[in-house]
Amino acid sequence: MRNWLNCSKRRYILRSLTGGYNLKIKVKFFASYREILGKDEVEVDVGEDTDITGLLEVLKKVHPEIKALSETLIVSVNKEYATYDTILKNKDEVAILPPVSGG
Amino acid sequence: MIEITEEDFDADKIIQGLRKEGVGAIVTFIGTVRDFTEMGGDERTEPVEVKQLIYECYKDMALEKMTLIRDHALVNYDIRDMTIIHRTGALKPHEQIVMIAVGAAHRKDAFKACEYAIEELKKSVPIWKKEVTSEKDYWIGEEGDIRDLSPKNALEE
Repeated sequence: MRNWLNCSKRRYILRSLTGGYNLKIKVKFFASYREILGKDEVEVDVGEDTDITGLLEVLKKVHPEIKALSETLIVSVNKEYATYDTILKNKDEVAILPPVSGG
Repeated sequence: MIEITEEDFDADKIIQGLRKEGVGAIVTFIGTVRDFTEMGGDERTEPVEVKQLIYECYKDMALEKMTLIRDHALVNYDIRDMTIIHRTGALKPHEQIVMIAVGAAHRKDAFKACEYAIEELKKSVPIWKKEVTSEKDYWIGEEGDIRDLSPKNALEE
């Protein structure tokens, strides 16, 4: 138990010092993207100062299926359309949105 | 009123709700499920039978965007009130999908605000539809669909 704690603590300190993956981001998928990926939500850990471009890079590594989606993805952060240079905060809710087709 | 619902809505009741002080014109738009499509996700020209449309949305964001459209219309047009209601789930031909109802003192701004609201809804509200036809099923806006639903349009607000 002590070893585990030490190990965990060490990892935490190391990540804090190196700007490790300490932001938890919820990513939602809808409609055609949800069907392509076979899931409607994932959670990913990213480092401080990660923007949408960075998040998409991490996502593509963890979930390679995302590469099958469009080159230019529409994204929202906390229910607001966002540009790729938007910096993420802990517990942000990101959604990857196919072109809308309501009405 | 702003609403997203799986249930059908009572258009008459919505219209009655707009008959109030200061209102001399009520303009409504109701979108219904067309029983044919010329889209088909390819260069088809012959219409195909539509079996149903399946709608899904990012509800919290969609409600926020619809509220924003209503607020914008109330500020920019001389209108008294606006209701926007959209359904989700599987809808059969001829069923109601969406309604925009505007109450104003005069018809001119009521027409303008109504058109603004439905056009903006189609551009910026995160709702998606899948067409289920006699031949195949596909999400509108996927590659191959001829409509212009580029990210640029969706981001313009």
